[in-house]
Amino acid sequence: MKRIRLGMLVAALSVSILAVGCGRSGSDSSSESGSGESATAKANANCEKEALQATETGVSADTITVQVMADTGSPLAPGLFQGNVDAMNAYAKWVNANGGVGCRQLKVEAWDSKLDATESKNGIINACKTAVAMVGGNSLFNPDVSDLGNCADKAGAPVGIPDFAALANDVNEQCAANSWVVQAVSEPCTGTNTGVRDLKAFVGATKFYQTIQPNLKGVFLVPADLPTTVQSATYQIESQKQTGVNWIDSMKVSGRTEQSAFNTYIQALKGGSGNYAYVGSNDVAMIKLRKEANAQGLTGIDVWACSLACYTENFKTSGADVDGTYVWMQFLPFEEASSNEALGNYVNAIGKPDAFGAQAWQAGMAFTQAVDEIVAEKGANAITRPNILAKMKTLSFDAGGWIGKARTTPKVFSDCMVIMQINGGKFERVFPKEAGTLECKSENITTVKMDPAAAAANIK
Amino acid sequence: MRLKVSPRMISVVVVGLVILFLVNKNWGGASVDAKTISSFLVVGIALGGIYAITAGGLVVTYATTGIFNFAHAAIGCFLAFCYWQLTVQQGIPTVIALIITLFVIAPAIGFLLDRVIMRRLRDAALVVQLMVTVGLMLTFMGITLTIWSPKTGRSLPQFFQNTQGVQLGEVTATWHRIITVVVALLVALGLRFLLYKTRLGISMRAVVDSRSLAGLTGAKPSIISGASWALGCMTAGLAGILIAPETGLVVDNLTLIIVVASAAAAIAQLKSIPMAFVGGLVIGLAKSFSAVYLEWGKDWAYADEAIPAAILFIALLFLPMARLETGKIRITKRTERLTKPWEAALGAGVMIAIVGAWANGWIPWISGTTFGERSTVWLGRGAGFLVLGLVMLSLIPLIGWAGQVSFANYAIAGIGAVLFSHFGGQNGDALGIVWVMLICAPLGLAIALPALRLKGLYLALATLAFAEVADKVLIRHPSMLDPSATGVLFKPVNFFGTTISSSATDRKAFLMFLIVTFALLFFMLEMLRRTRWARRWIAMSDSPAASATIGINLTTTKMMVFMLSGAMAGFAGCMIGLQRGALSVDSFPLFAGLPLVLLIAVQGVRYPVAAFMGLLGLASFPALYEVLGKPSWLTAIELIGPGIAAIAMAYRPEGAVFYSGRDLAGLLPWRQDARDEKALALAKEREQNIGKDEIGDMGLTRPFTADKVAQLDRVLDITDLVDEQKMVSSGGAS
Repeated sequence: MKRIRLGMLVAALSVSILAVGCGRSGSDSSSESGSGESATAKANANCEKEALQATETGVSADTITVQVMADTGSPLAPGLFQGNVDAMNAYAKWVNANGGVGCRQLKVEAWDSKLDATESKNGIINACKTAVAMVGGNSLFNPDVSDLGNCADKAGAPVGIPDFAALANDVNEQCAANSWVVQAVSEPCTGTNTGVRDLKAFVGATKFYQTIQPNLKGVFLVPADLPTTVQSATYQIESQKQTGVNWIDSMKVSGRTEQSAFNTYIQALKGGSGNYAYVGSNDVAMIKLRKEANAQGLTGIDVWACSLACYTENFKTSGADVDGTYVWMQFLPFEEASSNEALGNYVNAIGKPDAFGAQAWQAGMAFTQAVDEIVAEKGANAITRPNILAKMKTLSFDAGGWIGKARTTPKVFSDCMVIMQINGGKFERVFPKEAGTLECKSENITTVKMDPAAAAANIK
Repeated sequence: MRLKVSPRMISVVVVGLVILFLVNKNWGGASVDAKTISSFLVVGIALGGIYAITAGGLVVTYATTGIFNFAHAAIGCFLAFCYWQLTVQQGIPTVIALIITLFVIAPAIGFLLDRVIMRRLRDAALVVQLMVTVGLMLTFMGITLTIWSPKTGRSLPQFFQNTQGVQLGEVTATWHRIITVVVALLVALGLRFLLYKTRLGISMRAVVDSRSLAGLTGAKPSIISGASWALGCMTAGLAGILIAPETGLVVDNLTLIIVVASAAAAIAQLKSIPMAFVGGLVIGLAKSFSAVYLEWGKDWAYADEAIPAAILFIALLFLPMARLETGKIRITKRTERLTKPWEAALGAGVMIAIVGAWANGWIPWISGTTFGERSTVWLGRGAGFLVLGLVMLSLIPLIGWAGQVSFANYAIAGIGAVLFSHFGGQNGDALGIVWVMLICAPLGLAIALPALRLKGLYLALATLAFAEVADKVLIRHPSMLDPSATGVLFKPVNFFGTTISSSATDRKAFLMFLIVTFALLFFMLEMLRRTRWARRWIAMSDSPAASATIGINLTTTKMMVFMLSGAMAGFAGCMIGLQRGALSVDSFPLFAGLPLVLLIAVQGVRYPVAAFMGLLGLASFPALYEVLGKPSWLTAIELIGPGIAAIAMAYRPEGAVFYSGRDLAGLLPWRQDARDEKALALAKEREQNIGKDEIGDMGLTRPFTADKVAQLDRVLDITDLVDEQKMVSSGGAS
């Protein structure tokens, strides 16, 4: 049994999400859906031209098998990322009902990585033997990706396996040559990913908060259960500082921290006359912070801000304590399902949408587009891992406008955002005002040069 | 005048200086003014109240039952979820929900536990008592997770949530926290009064000391022990309900409070409930002090999480030295028959054959199943179970033979794995394994130092504290495991010209290497069991006093076994590193090591073959889950499975290997001794137990003793209706 603290895991995850970037978007999601639909149409036209064959591991004449690997069965956190698996199963059902993928039916196999690095490695090995690609995955601990890069294809060549990941928390998976990640990748992925380096960070939300309070002054709560999450927070802190935020302090918060202990953060805000609190951890941390603030009679905070980690059902059911909290995200929110066809498809298919599932669905869409483009260009029997790997390097993908502007590389950092605010148990759009749109500006991204490991030492 | 300095005084000074050094080195620069002091005190006392209330329940359970209940916080967690279900889900008014939870469900659980499990643990060995309660903890965690899926967020509102609270300087003390502290204090004083000033409380304590003597004074032991467990569950439930709004209604948050509560209970020496309250406050204030005034820096980033464990360790250091027990010499069983070398070799060969047959797909009836597939994935998992089996093997001489209950070996294995990444693991140098073993042996010795003073439960708690500190402070230190160095840390190792690795293409070879290694260690342990050292360890375990009398140096003997166990755990750690390839800072948490101790105890910790059976048990739970099609109601099987297996020890305390060995060994033609042993056991059982049809023989062909009267009560199922001891008196009189 692997002992995993749920709080820690969620905290770890939340910082990953902190930097979430789901691609680029036009400022109006009603814009054309990118090249996905046209590729599908061309692919369908090619389906009848030749007899379908089993072209690759996981590709038969009738089906294309992909594997979704996610942490779903850890004893202490059963169902943690079940949303990814549910979304991929729903996506397969939907895509099969709408013509399939690459002239075949999509078949999804699930692999439970159990918050365990060994099971993640096993999952990659299993995918190499049964699937043509890994799609929609979300495994927190995935440090050994050697098989991802060199397992043999049907022809015996050590080409590895394509990985269309929804979220890659581990830097090794993020920067793997064969991974295409929905989530934003801050790392330059050019060397060893250690020491002083250029790291991307999103500051669009901070700039919006500065329209509410130009002189933001406050505290940043750092998810502290894993060193990697602390390090990830360092460039978020630095980038906001460069944008003009005056930090009173940056303080660590554990998934296990009792609400009483949040008093320290409240006192820091009180003592420093703060007007801004940013939680880089998860929804539970934000709920405890807001409750403690109310208990301590803290007023004067103009901006309570959180990452996508607070965009949860749990947060919505936390009552008036959390009212007014801002949450930023980089895809159109579920509340606007009618504004975008792809988003609507996901929400209708899944019933209870969640952020992880949304990213998995987007990964499924990216895989479908890659395969359909291969079929359109090279025929229905050209679906092989090398071809998919080559295609993923240049894929122009916008998730039907759901994530805004098209992205063209496997690792990107989106400059798009939408900001929501919770009130009365409902998330409401506050920026940009127009439903179905995202704000996409290059100024929303900044680059900070630093060594996160060294900077982590300065966080309390 | 000559100044007399006691060792305890020296310890106080040393610990004080260490604390001062740590505070000075990690001072965060916050000014010590009214504002920070009020924040420190209010937060610290609020946290302290939370810990105190759990610690108080833990102490009262121990004082009234004689069993240290590791499941205390897990039961409290379960009851907090019940309370949430009643109030938040069902909308039942708070007071009624409290009454139902604390005065109906909690006592019912307590009486049920006493009736089904705890009565059987009265005279059980410490390791059995501990393992059953650890098993109970895992079971309650699993049940709670199964009923209330963690996917759904839940919160329990604070009492008087919408009221103002009391302003204390710069800080507001909410009514919920005031209630928690006051309730903790009242519980401490109330339980103190109950245990020392009321007939029921005195009876509760008396029953722990001597059931028969308590019975002679008119107490009803069977009812009183049930009441003790009911009281323990009620305090657990009260703690859970008060704590959940602070920690969140999250299973591991609520359950892991047991570590903190253990520290507070250790300060109270598991006796004084008011001191448990003080212990809780000390820990709460220490954590608050750390949060307000200290900055630990990157090297000790997780040190604040280890504060309760450190306090537990310090508290144990100040316990009085354990005295040699006299007059309590127990010969628990006949002298064991020693395994002959050829039998041990045969056993080792069978293990290799079983794993080899499975790895090659030669076991037809499981080859069609998921876990029977000779897939690369399952070969890797098999290797994973085998390396954990190596950790279990390291526990045999320590717990099984020397009787030193330790929860630290998985942590030592973790340290070994990390050390191996520095000493050769990254270059594939097999010599590094030797270095790691040479380092881990004295590490085991370091743990042995408190063992020289402590024993039994206190030693177990000390090793628990070590495991927690090792996880939070040692393994996570950047010099040990650099957080920025991720990815594969171990290269294939060269053993005498043969390269061994766990990569996908070499997994069968790696598995066979591991089973051969395992079998060799098994054989060596069986041979060690035949030596003078093993006999000394077993003698020391059976009776330290008698051992000392015949000239055995207990200090050297203990040190040797801890060193041996440490070296074996270090070796296991190297294999864990090789098997996993990559490590993360949380790869060796305290709670991951518990099932290993638990499963080997279930199998029979005195027998090396139990490690093999234990790893099979470890493999069986995920395999069963897959075979059954991964049903949602079995998602927590990896908690509930080992948990129930451990609870079964209440019925089979010697372990499965002992009973199956006794029953099956007689089938072997050359084991006449086993057949004799079984016949003897049956005769003894028949002598001790009375059937209804044999009642007429009482006083005629069978002696009518007090024991027999008690058995008669059980046979007639009147134990709970009529007090056992009264029957003894009346029976004797008649």
